[in-house]
Amino acid sequence: MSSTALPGTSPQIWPRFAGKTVLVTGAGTGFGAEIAFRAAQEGAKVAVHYRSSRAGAEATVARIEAIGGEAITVQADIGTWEAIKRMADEVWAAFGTLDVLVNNVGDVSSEQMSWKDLTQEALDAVIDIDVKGTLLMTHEFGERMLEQPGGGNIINVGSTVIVRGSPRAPQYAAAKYAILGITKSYAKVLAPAVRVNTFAPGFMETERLLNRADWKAGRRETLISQTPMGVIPPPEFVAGTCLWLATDEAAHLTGGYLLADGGFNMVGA
Amino acid sequence: MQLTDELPSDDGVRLDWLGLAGSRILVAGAGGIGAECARGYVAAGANVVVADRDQARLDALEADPSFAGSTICVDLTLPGAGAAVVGQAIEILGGLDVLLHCVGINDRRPVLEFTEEEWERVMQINLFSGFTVTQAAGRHMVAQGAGHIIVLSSVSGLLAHKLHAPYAASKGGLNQMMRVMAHEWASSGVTVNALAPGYIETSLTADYLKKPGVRDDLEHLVPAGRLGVPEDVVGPALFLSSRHANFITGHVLYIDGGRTLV
Repeated sequence: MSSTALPGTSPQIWPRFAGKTVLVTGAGTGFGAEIAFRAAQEGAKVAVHYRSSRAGAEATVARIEAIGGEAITVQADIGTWEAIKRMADEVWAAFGTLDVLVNNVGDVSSEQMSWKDLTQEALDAVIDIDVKGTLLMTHEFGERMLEQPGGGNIINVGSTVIVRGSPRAPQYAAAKYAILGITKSYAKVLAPAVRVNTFAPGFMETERLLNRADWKAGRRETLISQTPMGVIPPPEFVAGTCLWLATDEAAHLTGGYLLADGGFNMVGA
Repeated sequence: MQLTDELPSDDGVRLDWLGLAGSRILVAGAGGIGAECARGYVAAGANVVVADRDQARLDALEADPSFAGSTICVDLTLPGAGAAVVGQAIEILGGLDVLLHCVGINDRRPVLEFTEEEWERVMQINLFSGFTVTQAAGRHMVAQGAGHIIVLSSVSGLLAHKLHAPYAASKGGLNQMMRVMAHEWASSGVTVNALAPGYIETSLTADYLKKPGVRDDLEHLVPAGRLGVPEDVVGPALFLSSRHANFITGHVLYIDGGRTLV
């Protein structure tokens, strides 16, 4: 299947999020930026979170404003609870409510090419951002969503490594498995007002991936051959799929995960 | 949370958003979930054929003003039934883009009390019917290089419910059959996925739910605090039939209000 055979690449946009507010973490780059842009295309007011890539976040806001949308930037290091509380205050002050939180931020140890290259620092960074950050965000925002009329929706972005593991960077797979534990636990305590689900994409051709050394050295071709659908899509191809979890169509889904990886997970670890 | 509150009527939303207008769809099984999904596809502007072995069910569907489709009376446990019904559906619709298989029964009793005939009956209705109709639809879709197939699994394909031995085995079997088909047909542009609802209030579960205490016990097992209704399955079925799910294949999507968390 060639990339030209992907009929969903530019689907007609329908305003599923008209009148809604959406916060996407790590939305200055990559998949997060595409989720934020897609949410805005579908009618949402969007809070674009960044930690250090302010220029990227501002570029995402500019893209949204260029199509007549509304967006703000919010900054926080999600490894610390105090920073998360401050950001939540800012979001509620700006929007009055938050309907959807997409916890997209994640560290994938992209510099690491082999499990043998594990360092204490790389392990700590992944655990701090992916595990502590996602848990604290889900905890703080979930609790606030419980208190607002209408509840809310939380989507935690995982990865196909929740099925396959990661021989390249085991700490990354460990952190993404932790996201399932966070999702299931908070789905249960926050039900039914707040739904919590994991979205698990496979490899996507983000700028970060395209620049990765192993990607340029043949990994891309190997992965395409291992993906039953034979395609590594651009992130915008699955951004709408991710947001579907926060729509009414998915009203009875909570605590689950949705894989969108072209069947990559089925091939086995 | 009502995301569609401010939007136009239901059929307007689905017509535009899902891109299913004009899609040619076969729904195998006209039970509570099958019939509700068939109405959902019609509301999305699709052309729909529904197959079931119970003519009375089909008559009820045809008499329903919200169902503007065709029906075929067929017993999908018979050899060759899948090819026959898919052939008829293609003739009626002028092609086939989506197959939804939702044929199933349950037979609740302890493992030690099942006869071999009772075991075989559940397997034939739940699993064999799934094979014969998805194989036939897959043959057509692989040749045309596109299509979406969805089978109706259950949380019983994952959880070990007492009194559910053949039902659970058939649903677990459907999941694995689905995954192998998904793998084999992915390069031909055909996606194959499963929907796995928790308890849904249909004729299949009605008698069981009437037993004293059963409803309360089951509701306590669902974090969402309620049992599912057939409408809960419609959105996910339409989603997996649409271009928005083009990169999802081989997946079991649970629609259970968190039931599998407990």
